[in-house]
Amino acid sequence: MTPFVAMIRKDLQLFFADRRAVIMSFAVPIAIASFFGSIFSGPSRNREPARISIAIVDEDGSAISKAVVTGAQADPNLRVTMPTADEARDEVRRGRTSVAVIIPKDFGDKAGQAFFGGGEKPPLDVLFDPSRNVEVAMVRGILTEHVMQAVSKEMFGGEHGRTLVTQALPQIEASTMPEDQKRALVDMLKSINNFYRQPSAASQATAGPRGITMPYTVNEQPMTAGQNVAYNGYAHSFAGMGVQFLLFAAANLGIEILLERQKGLWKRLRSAPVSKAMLLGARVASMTIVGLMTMLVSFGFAMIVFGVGLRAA
Amino acid sequence: MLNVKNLRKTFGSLVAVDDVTFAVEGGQLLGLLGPNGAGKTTTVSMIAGLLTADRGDVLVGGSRLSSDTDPVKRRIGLVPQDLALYEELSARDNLRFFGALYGLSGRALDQAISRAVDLVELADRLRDTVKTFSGGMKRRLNLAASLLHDPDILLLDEPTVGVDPQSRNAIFDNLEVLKRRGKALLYTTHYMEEAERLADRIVVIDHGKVIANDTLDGLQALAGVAAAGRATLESVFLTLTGRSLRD
Repeated sequence: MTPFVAMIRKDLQLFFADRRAVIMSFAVPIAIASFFGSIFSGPSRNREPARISIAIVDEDGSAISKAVVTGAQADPNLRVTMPTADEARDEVRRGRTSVAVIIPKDFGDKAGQAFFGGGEKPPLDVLFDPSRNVEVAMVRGILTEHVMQAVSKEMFGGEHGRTLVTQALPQIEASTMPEDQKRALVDMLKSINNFYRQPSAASQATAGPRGITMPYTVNEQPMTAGQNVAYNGYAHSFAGMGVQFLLFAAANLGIEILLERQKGLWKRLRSAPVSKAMLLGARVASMTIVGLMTMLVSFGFAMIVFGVGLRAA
Repeated sequence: MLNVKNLRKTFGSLVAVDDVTFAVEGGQLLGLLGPNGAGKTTTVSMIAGLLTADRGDVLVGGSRLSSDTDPVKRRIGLVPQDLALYEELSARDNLRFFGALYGLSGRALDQAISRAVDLVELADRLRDTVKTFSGGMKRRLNLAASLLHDPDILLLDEPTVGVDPQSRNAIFDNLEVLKRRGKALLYTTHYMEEAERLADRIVVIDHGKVIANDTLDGLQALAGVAAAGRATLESVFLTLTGRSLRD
């Protein structure tokens, strides 16, 4: 056995004799990478996207507020519960729910009037967990869509909307608005009322969705390693953790040399007829072997358990 | 066997070893004595090739040590003051590794291990991990690890630090055997009774310089303490080096 091989063999013997080193090198990267992979893996082909938990308290009970709730419940990005106001507060405080929305009494009326700029805008109380700001921003955006859709739908065809339009016409006539603008607005509202009085139009209108909706759809395309290659977050987390533990192994290389100096072993090694380059080279070689074994075990586990492939990401 | 000539080593402005000269013949044990910081370990390190001398020569059987991989190194065995062993490995694995560093392998390595552990009486503990050994056993294994390549010269840097009297006595017996086998032994120690028992010649070093190089009787005469009766080496040592404390 050459001194070089003997040094590598000794390092591997020492490595496998140290149970903590083995656990640190093999089990810990797998555990950490699995944890982060589960967090950042995102939706795969067969899984539903992660939903944001939201509690909605409907204190209004109007057609508009009910439509907002219905829209939110149908939204694929939200998981909606309907607790009382106190329960909603408690759920957010305990971190069980990211956001709670309280729709106050008379929200529907006020929102309808404010829709044409004629009344005070009603508030929506949003209770949120301060540690989940990103989810709050997402809920705000999603909610805007549903509220606009519900209010516009009601205002352009609902019973409540017709009443509001009828009430608004004399107010507009009596207002100090410039005559040409006043005439245009009155004509528009009368046209809306006339449209919904026609039976065929009304039946057609109730058949499908109305109101303001998003004027586009989103076609999402994850850019992965190739066509039909699904994103796998475990591939990223295992690769990242593998590199991280290689760096740890490299740092450990320096530490072990210092420890050998401290223990006097370095003197014995240096007194043998071997060069410093061989001493360091053997240490680098053994570290490389341990690093490769770590990567092999980690990726082997990831391939078998999480289906990570070389083209998985 | 070992000739040290006009050796000098400085670390910045500190002169650690200054013009040190002595020789050790085969079958002889030379005691290298000196207070803390006198330059003993620096001298041993230069002989073992761990440090490069600023000036002077170390001749091993007439040959000068030229590089890390010089074959002359095979004629030297170093027993470091620290227990230079891998505690997590068995005694056999330690010895196999240290023997392989000197190019030993296969049957030759097995025979070398067998000879070394027989000498230090650890043959029955070869399979045990070193961390299960007592302090005395570790010291004996430390010695065995330096004998595998059958060196002509053995450098022993305080090899009995922290061991019980039985183990120390066993190590002395081992060294007596090695002397009889014709090995040249350089032995640094703080224990005067060790030098008195083992050393054929004694070199006293202080502030990096050799202040005495003689037999025990010669040193007693040099220090002028013999007239008062049979003086111990310790009294000779204190006479030569003074009583002031060293760092």
